[in-house]
Amino acid sequence: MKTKLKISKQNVTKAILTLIMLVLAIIVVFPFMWMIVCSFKPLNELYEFPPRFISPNMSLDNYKEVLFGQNPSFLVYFKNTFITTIVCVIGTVFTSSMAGYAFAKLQFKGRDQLFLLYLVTMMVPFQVLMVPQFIQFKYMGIFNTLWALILPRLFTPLGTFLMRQFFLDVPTEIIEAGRVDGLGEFGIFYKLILPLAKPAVSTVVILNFVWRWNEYEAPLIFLTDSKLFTLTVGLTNFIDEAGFAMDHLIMAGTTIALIPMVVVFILGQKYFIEGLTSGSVKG
Amino acid sequence: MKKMLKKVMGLALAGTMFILPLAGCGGGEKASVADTSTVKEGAKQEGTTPNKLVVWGGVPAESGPQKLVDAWNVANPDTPAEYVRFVNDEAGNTKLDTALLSGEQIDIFFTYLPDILKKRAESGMLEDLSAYDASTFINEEILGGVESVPQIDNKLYCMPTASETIGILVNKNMLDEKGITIPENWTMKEFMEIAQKLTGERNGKKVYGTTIFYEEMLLPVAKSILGGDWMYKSDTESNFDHPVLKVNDMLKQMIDEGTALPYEEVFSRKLSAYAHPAFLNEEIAMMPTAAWMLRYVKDLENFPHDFITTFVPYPSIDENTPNPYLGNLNNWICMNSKSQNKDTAWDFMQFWVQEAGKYIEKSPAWSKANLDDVTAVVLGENPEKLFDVEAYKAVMLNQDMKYNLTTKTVGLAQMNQIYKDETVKFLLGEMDEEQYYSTLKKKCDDILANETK
Amino acid sequence: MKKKKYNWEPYVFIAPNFIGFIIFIVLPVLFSLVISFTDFNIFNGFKGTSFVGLQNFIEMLKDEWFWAALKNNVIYTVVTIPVTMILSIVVATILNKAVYCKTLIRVMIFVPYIASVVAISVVWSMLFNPSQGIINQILMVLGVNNPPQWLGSMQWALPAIMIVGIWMTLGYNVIIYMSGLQSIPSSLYEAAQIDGASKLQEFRYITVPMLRNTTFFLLVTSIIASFQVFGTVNIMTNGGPGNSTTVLAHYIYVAGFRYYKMGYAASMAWFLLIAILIVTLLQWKVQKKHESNF
Repeated sequence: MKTKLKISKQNVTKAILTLIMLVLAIIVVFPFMWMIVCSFKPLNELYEFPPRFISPNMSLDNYKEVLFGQNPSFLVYFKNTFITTIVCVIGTVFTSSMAGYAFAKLQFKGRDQLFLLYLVTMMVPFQVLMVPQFIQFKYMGIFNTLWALILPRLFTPLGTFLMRQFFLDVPTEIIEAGRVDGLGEFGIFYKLILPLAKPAVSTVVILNFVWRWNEYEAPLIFLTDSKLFTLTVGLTNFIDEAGFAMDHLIMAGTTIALIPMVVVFILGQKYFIEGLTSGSVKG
Repeated sequence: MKKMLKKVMGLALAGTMFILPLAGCGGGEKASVADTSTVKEGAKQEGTTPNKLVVWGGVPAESGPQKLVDAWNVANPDTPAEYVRFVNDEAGNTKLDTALLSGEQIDIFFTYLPDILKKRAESGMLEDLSAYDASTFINEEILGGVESVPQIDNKLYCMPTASETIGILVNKNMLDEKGITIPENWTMKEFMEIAQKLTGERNGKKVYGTTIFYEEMLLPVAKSILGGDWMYKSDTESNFDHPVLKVNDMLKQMIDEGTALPYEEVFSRKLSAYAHPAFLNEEIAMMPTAAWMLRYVKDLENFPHDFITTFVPYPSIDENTPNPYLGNLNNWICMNSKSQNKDTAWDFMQFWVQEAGKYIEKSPAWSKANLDDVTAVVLGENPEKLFDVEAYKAVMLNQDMKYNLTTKTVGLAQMNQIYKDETVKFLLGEMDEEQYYSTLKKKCDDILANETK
Repeated sequence: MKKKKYNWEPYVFIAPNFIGFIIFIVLPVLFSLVISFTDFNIFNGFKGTSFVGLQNFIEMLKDEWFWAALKNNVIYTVVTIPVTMILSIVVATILNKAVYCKTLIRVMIFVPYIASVVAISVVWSMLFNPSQGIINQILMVLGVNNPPQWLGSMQWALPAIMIVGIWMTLGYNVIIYMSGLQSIPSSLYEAAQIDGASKLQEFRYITVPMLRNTTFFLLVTSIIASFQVFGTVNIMTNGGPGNSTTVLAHYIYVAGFRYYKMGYAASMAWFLLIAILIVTLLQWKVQKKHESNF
C-alpha cells in the first residue's frame, strides 16, 4: 500500500514536470507554428486581434505567389542552395576524412604542429576572412559565382577535427591486418577504414548540410547577382524589395526555406545529436 | 599498391566529375545560369555579347525601366542593355557598391542621395563626364542646366533623370469625414492641428494623423525652407543653431502627443524611408511622398484600398516664411569609371534622360518633356478613381517651386550620419532639445573644422 | 612489430585538405593582418594603397561606434550565456530523469538550431511588432499597459535581440548537457539517496560539479559564437535604433562594405580575433587550474 502511494506520488511529480517542459517546448516552437499559420493567411489577417490559428480565408495563394510570381523564383534560390550544399558536403567529407585519417593514424613530420594550427584556425571568425577573401575571390574571378561559396567550404578544419577524433578510436590492429593482407595505404583507408567510419561521416554530412544550407554571411557578401542567390539571401532580398509590407509572403517564403531542414533533421536526428555531442563546435 | 592508388584516383576523379558539371550551372559563365532561370528579359541573346551594357537602377524593372531598356534594344540591337534592379536602401546600395568594387560588369548605375554620390565619386567609381561634353547636353536638355547638377571637386559625375516634387499625400475620405479643408500655404501649427483632428479610432482601428519620416530622416521642412545646403552656415560652420531648425521640436511634439506614428513603430516596421504600407492600410491619414511612390497607390493588388488620395504641399514654419525648395532633380545616372563600353554607355545615358518620361512613372528631368503625357504615365489609367487629379497638378506640378541643390559636400556623409543618430536619440527622449541642437552643432562643426584643415 | 615508416602517403592524404586550408584560410588570415595596417580600398587597388602604421587601431580607440559595438557585444555575452546555460542545465536535468515523452520535447526545443538566422529574425520581427505583434498583444491581455516597444526602442532592442539569441541556442545547450549527464555514474546518485540527500542537493553537489567539463566546453564555444553575432542584428535592427544594437561583427561589415574602409574593418576584425583568442586561453588556464585542484 505504502509503496503504491509513493509510486503514484512520483508519477504525479513526473507528470507535472512533463507538463512544465511541454509548455516550455511549445513556447520554443511557437514562433515557427505562428509562421506556418501566417504563411496561409491573407495579409490583413496577420495582425488581427485576437489572433486566430484557423481562419476560413487560409489558402495556398501566398505559396503560389512566392514560388511562381517572383523573379527570380524561389525555385532558383532553392537550386542554388541545393547545389552549393551538396557539393560542399561531398567535398568536405572527401577532404576531411582523408586528412583526419592521416592526423589520427599516420606518422609524419610536423603532424602535431599542423594539427594545432588547424585547431587554432577553428577560432578565426568570419569577419577576419571576409575582406581578404573578397579581394582574393575578385582576383581569382570567382566573386559572384557559387564557387565563392563552395571552394572555401570544401576544407573545413572542423570536419577534419571530427574525423580525426573518430579515427583515433579505430584500433590500429585493423590497419596492420590490412597491411598483412597486402593492401596499400589507400586500400586500407578505402576498404577497411572508411566503411567503419559511417557514423562519423554521417555526422559530418548532417552538420555541414545544416550549416551550409543556412549560411548567411558569405552569400551576403560574395554574391550580387540575384539569380545566384541562396535561400537565405534570396529571402532577405525579397524582404528588402517588399519593404516589410508583405509579411504574409515573407512567412510563406520562410516556411519553404525551412522545410528541407526539418526533413533532414527528422531523418538524421540520431547522427545529428551524436555529431553535436562528439565534441563539436558550430563552424 | 598501384591498384589501390588507381582506385583512390578514380574516387577523386569521380568527385571532380560530379563537381564540374554542376559548376556549369553554378557559376563561371553567368550566361548559363540566366537561361535556366525564369528570366524573361529582352536580352534573350544571352551569349556573351561583348558590347552589352549592364544598367543598375533602383526602380523595379516592371515600373518602366524594362520598357525603356526594351526600346533601347530595339533601336540598338548591336549594343543591347540589361537592367538590374537594386533596392534603393542602405543594404541595396551596399550591394551595388560591392558589385562595383568587385569589378563586376556594370556600365551604368543610379545614385539617389548626395552623400552616396560623393562617396562614390571619391572612391573613383564614377566617370568624369566632362570628356563627353556633358555640360552642353545638360544645358540643352535638362531642367535648370548645369547649375542644377551637383558637382564634386568641380567635376560632373552624373546627370539627373527625374524631377521630383515632394509633397504630402492625404487620405481624402478621412478629411471629408471630419470636414477638414487644408488651407493653402499652411503652417506647421495647422499641420499639427489637423494631424490631431485626424488621429483617433476609425472602424475599430487606431489612426494616426501622419508620419513625420521621409527617406529615413525627419520630415525635411527645414530643408524646404533653407534649400539643399541647409546644414551649412558656411563652409566651415554648420547651421544647426538656425531658428528654422526648431521645426524639429514641433515634429517631435507630434510624436509625443500621439498624433504622428511613433518612432518605435516606424523603426521596427521599417517605415522610416517610406510609410506607404501604413498609409494605404489606413493607419495614417497623411504621408510625405514623391511622385514615384504613387505606383504603390496604384498597386491595388498588394495594397487594396478604396479611398481617394489627395495632395498638399509641405507646411512652412509660419505664414511669413516661404518654403519653395520642394523639388529635387535627382535619380542621377552615372557611368562606372571601369566600364569597357564608355561611348555606348554615354549614348545610353542620353537616351535615358530623353526617354524616361515615356516609360517610367516619374517626372523626367528632361526639359523638353510634355507634362500632360508625363502625368498620364504617373497617374495611370482612370486616375480619378484613386487620385484627386486637380490637387496633383496643383501640388506636384507646381511651377513656383525651386529645386534643392546640394552644392556643399564637405563632410556631408558624416554630417548626415550625425544628424540621423542624434535625431533618433532626441526623438526617443535620450536627450532634451537643448542638448540635441548643441550636440548637432558641435559635432558637425568639428567635422567641418577637421575636413577643411 | 616495427612501426611503419611512411614516405609520401600521409602527404597525399593531407594534400587536398591542406591546399584548400592554406589558400582559403591561412593566406586570407595573414593577408588580413597586412590590410589592417593600410588604408586599403579595393576600388583604388593596391596602387592607391599605403601603409598607415597603427592609425587604424588608433582610430578604433576614438570611434564611439566601435565602443558602442564592443559594449553591446559584452552585454550580449554576459547576459545571454549565463541565462542560457543555467536554463539549459536545469532543463537537461529534468528532461534526463523525470519526464514523459522526453524525445519529443528534446526535438521541439532543438528546432531553432536548424533554422536559418534569416528565418528566425524575420519571424521574431513579426512577433515583436510593437502595436500589432502577438507578444505585445499577449502582454496587454495580461495587464501590461505599456508593453516594451522592442526593436524600436533604445532600451529594449538589445534585450529583444538577446531573447532571440537565448531562444536560438537553448536547444543546443540542452542537448550537450544531456549527453554530459549520461556520463555521470548513477552510483553517485544512489549513494546520495542513501545519505538522504534531496533532489536539490543532488543537483547542487553532484550534477553541477560533474558537468564541469561540459560547462567549460559550452562556455568557450558560446563566447566565441556570441562575439560573432551578426545575422539577427543585421536583419532585425541593422544596428539601430541609433547605435543601441550595433555589435562588432555588424560594425565590421558596415565599415568594410558600406563605408569601404576595408583596412579599418580588417583591424577591427583582428581585434575581434585577438579578443577571442585571449578569452579562450584564459578559460583554458582557469580550467587547468581547477582540474589540478582535484
